[in-house]
Amino acid sequence: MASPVHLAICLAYPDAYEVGMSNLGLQILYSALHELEGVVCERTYVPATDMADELRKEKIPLFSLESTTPVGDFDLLGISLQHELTYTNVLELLDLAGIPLRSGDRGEDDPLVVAGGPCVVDPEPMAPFFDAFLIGEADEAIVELADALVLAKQEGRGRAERLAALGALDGVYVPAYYETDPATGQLFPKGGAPARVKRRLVADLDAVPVPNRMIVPFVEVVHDRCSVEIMRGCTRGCRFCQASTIYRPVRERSRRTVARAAQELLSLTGYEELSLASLSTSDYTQIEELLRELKGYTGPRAIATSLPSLRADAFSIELAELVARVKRTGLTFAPEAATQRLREVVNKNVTEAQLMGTIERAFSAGWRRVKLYFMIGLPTETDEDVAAIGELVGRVLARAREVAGPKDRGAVKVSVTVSTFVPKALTPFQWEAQLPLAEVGRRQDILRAAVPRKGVQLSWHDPEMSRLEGLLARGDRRISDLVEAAWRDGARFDAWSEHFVPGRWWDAAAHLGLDVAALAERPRRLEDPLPWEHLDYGLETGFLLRERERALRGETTEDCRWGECSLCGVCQSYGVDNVLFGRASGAA
Amino acid sequence: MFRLRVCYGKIGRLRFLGHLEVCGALERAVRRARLPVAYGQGFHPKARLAFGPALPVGTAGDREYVDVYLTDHVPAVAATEALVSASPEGLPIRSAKYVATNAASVAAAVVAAAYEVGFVGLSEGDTAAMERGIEALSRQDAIEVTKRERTRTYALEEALIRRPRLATDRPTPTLELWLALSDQAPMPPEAVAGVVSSEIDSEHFLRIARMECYAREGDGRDGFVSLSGVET
Repeated sequence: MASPVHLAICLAYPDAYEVGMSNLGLQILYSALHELEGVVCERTYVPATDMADELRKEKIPLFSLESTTPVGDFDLLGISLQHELTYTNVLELLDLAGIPLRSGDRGEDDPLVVAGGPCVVDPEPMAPFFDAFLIGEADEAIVELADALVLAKQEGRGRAERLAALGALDGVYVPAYYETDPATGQLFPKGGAPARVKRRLVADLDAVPVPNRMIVPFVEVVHDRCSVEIMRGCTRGCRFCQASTIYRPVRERSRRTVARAAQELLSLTGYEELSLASLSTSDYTQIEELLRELKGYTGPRAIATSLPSLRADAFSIELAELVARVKRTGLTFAPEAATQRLREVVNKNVTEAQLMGTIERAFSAGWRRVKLYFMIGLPTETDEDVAAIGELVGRVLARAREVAGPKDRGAVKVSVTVSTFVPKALTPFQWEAQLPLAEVGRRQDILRAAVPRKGVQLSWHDPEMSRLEGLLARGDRRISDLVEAAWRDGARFDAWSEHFVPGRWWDAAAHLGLDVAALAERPRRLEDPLPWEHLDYGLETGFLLRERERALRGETTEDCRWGECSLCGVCQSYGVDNVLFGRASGAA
Repeated sequence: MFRLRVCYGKIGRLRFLGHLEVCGALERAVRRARLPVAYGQGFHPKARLAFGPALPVGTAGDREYVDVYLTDHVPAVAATEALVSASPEGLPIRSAKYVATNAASVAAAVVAAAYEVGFVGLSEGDTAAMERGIEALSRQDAIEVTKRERTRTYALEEALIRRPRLATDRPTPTLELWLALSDQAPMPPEAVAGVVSSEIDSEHFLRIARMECYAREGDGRDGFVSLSGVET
C-alpha cells in the first residue's frame, strides 16, 4: 500500500534534457529522495525553443516528465546551477511553469524555489529569483530539507514559515533575509539571520551510499553511461580552478564500496559504459587496483570503463593498459599552459616531460586520439606563452605519430580546445582581470599561427560567452536585473552557439547603465568587499591571498595529500581531513 | 551460438522513439535480463542483436521482432521472463523462441506488414469521404509522394498487398493497411492515408501502428504468415 504523499519535489536542470540527464548530482539527489517515505520526486528540464513556443501558444504549463504534473503544483522546485550561462534558462523554466520570477512575488500556492550546485558560490546575480540557496554538498542536506518541509506542511505552515524552516537548516541561504548596500554590493543580515552561511560538507563520502538506482534515458544524452563518484574534492591547487577550493578536502570512497556499487548499478541499468567520476580520477589512490577488480565484471560484458579527468602526470603504463583492455574511450588532458613558467604560476604541476611520457604510453597502448585543453588570458601571460601552445601541440603531434608508427600516422588526431580564462570566486585569482575581447582576438591569432595546420583540430570557446560568464561569475545582486532584461529580450540557451546572441546582453547592460567592460574585465582591489563574503566555504582569505602572491612569484604549492598542509582553512574550520584509502603519491 | 527471436511491442509514450533509440533500449534490456548475449568484434563491441525493419518516430509497433544471439542456451520461458522483468512498459516483451542459426534474418524474412492508421479528430461525413478515397485508390496504378522536394512514385500493384479497409467500429475511424516491406524504400502508410483522406477538410492527426510483420509462406507467392508463425 503506497504511503500518503506529504511532499512533492521537482528537481530541475536548467538546460535541455540531453544536458540535464548527464548531470550526476541530480541523479544522486533523485535517488536519495526516492528513499524517503511520503516524498514524491520528479524531474523537469527546459524544453527546446520550438517546444517552449508551442507550450506557450497552447497555454500548457511546464510539467514534470514522470507524471506530467505542472511544475507549479509541486511543493518544492530544486534547480541545479552548474554553469552561469544557464541563468536565463532558469527564468525560462520559471516562466514556462507559471511561477513568478521573483521570490517576493510568489504566493502561498507557488512552490518554494531552491538552488544548489557550484554557481551558488556567488549566488547574488540570481538571488532575487530564488527563495533559498543550498550552499555546498546536498547529499545529507536534501534529506533535512525534505524532512523540514514535510513537518511544516503537516503542521499547516504558510509559505513564510516554511521558508523559515528551510532557513533554519545549516547551509541554507535565504536572500530575503539580507539587505544589499547599493554602493558596494555587500550584504547585511536582517533580524536573526546569520552573518555568514556555512557550506555543507560531507566528512566521510564512503559513509554516504552510492545511489542504488539510476534513471536510464531512452534518448541519447551527452554522457550516456553509468557514473559512480569515486572521490570528491581535489587538492592539487590549480589557482584558476574553483572546484579545487570549494570541494576541499579530498574524500575518497573505498575501493570495495565503488566496486560493489558499480557492479550493482551496471547490472540494474544495463549500461554499456561505466564512468569513474571525480575531479582528478588518476589521483584516486587505488585506481589501478580498482580497475583490475572491475575488469572481472566489465570484461566479459564488453562494458567500457571511462576515466574522465585524468592528469598528464599520473597516467601510468598500468593505467593505460587497464583502461585500454576492453574499449578505448577518449583521452583528455588539460595542460592549460604551454610553458613551464606559466604552468608554475597557475600551479599546474605538470612538466612537458611528463606530458610527453603520457602521450608515449597512451599511443603505445593503442590510443590514436587525444584531446588537450589550454587557456589563454591567465595572469602574467605573454605572447610567447601563447605561441608556445601551438609549438607544444606540434611536439605532441610529432611524438604521437612517431609512437603510433608509419602505418597509423594518418589515424593520429590531436584535438585542442582553447578557452579564455575567467576569474572565479573563491580562487586565488578571484581578484584578477579578465582579458578584453580585442586582446582575446589578438592572442587567438598568435596561437592559430603557431599550431600545425595538419593533424590538429583546433576549437575555441566563444570569447563573448566567456565574457558573459565572467560578468555573471563575480557579479553582485545588481546583475540580476541584467539577467532578467536579457531573458525578456529573448535570451535563452546561452551556452548553445546556435542560440547565443551576445548583443542582447550588451544592449541590455547599456540600457541598465552597466559598464560591462568594467564589471567583467576589471581586476578587483584586494581591499574591496566581494559579493560572496556572506558565504563561508571554510577557506581562509589569507590562503587565497598567499596563493596569489606565490603565483605572481612563480612559486608552486604542493598538494596537501602528500605534501605540507597549505593552511587553506577548510580542515580546521570543519574538523575534517583528507580521506584516502591508499598511499598518496604525487606522480605515476 | 543460439538465436533467440524476441517479439516485442513499441507502445505508449515510447512510440516516439526513433529506431536507433529502440535498438539501444533493447540492448540495455537484454543486459539487464542477464542473458548471455554475444558481442561483436572491434574497438566498440556491441551486443549482437539483429533488428527488423525500422519504425519511424511516432509509429507504434504491436509485434516487432529482434534476434538476440546468445553464447549459451537459456530455456525460452526463463529468457522470456527475464526479459519481461527487465523491459520498460513501453517495450513489452510478447514472446521469445529459438530459431535456427541459419534461418533468414528478421530484416530479410519480413516482406510485408499490417498497419493501422487511426484518424483522430474527424467529423461526421468524413468516413464516407474516406470510403470514396479507398474506392478511388483501387482504380489508381501508382501514388506519388513529395517529401522535402523529392518525389517518389509507388507502384500500387507491388506496394499494396490487399485493398485497404476502413474500420468504423473503433473509438476512432481506423484504416487497415497491408503493405509490402521488402523494398529499399517501401511505401509508407502515411502515403496511403494521405490519398484516402484527400477530400477531408477537418483538422485531424494520424496515429499509426504497425500491427504485425509477415514473411512469405513456404515459397508461395500469395501466402503470408506472421513472423511468429514461421517454422524455423
